[in-house]
Amino acid sequence: MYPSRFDYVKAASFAEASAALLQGGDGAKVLAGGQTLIPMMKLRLLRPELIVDLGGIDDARDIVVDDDVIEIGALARHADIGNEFRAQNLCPIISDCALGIADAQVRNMGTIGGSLAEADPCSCWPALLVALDAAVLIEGPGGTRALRVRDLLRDAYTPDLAAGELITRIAVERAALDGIGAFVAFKRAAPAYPTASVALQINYDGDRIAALRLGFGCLGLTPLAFDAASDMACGKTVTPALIADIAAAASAFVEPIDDAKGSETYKRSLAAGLVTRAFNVVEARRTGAPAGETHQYYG
Amino acid sequence: MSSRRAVRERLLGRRINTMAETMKIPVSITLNGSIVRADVEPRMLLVEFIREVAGQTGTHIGCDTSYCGACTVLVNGRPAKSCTLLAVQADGWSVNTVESLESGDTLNVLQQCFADKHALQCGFCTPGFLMAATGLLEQNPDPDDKAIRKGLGGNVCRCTGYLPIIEAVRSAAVVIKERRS
Repeated sequence: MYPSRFDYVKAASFAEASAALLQGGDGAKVLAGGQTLIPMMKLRLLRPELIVDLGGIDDARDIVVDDDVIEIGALARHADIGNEFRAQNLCPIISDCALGIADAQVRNMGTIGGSLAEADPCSCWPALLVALDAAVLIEGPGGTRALRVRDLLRDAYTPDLAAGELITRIAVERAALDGIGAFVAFKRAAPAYPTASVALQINYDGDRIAALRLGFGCLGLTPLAFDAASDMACGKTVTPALIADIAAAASAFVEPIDDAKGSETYKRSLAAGLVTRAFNVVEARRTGAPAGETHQYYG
Repeated sequence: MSSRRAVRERLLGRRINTMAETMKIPVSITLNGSIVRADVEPRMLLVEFIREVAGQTGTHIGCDTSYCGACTVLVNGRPAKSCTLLAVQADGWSVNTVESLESGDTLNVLQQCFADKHALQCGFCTPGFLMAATGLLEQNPDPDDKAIRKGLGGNVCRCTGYLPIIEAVRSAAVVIKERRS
């Protein structure tokens, strides 16, 4: 299958890409890793007239881990991010997320910035970054601005970006990553988008929960952050009763829609199951027990 | 302009590019160690470049929607789906296909293990599995079954039921390790 015809520019910098996008107008699309864009173009769900390829921008793939903040270049590939955090044995919630996306081939090409800019409610990065209340740096004709991911992703497939604006960096505050976390998902097959995903980060004070972050992917028209879960959990120890309470509250909180992947009822039930699994993985990691799989799929 | 095109342009509310108007872009890809140069339409997929321009037909087109992995090649040493990349993206890249595995008429260790363990029947998916497994063993020379399953999660086989493929990759890892020590 061939995409419909388009013109092509390989930009050497974000500024060059931004100018090309403005010139291309509504018919212009950005190509980062292409792992979603190219299949959509082949299926003729998209027919851009101009493709602006960011592949020539070399200085936007870096991963910087500071004491205060983790910064990731928008063109960093899923596999590189996941392998880096796994190698450093740092923030397992990030490597879970990165190395659970699709399959090895897609992870080797797809980028974190592309995943965010596509604003698919089922993608994994948006769910994680909304849960962690991360921010993005955006470069465009009006200069540079910072934006919380929660504000970037206010609707499905429509990021809050003006014409010619591009996401250049992603920043997560280290404070949001204190403690232990896990990112879990259920997929129908490795390359498929998850049916649902859950991000859970718990900061402990001794045995008690000092802070908790919980977020969901694919259970609404945007990724959802369940901030009220923190109030339910703070000051308590992790017990089966607490997990059951939060799982039940999460099941009621999410906003799934009936589709080919399952009914609303099924997805509410899945949300509760995934919250439970996320707690189990985090607790296993805390105690050094075998954590089991974070991503499950058939085959 | 044909009247059919005029009607379509009115329906779409925009101009339709014709072949004559489509730009061609010079691309240079190092394919299995040799540089292949051509002027291609931007919409040409990498897999078509490999098969049609370079004439190396070992890489297969399966589902053509990024699910089956039959088109897997190594891009700068790492597995990627060549049906989900544009040839123009790959300008300057090094691409290795299944043709790079054998030397002369001799199969490499992984290919031989696939044959020995009956890890293929119709063989259509095999080039993709071989390249995905090559990338996997490069990154993780001693994978357990879980790592093999995860590493090959992007490839579909409708004949073997996967178990012989997993066995072939496992035994290839053992042979490669023995040869290195």
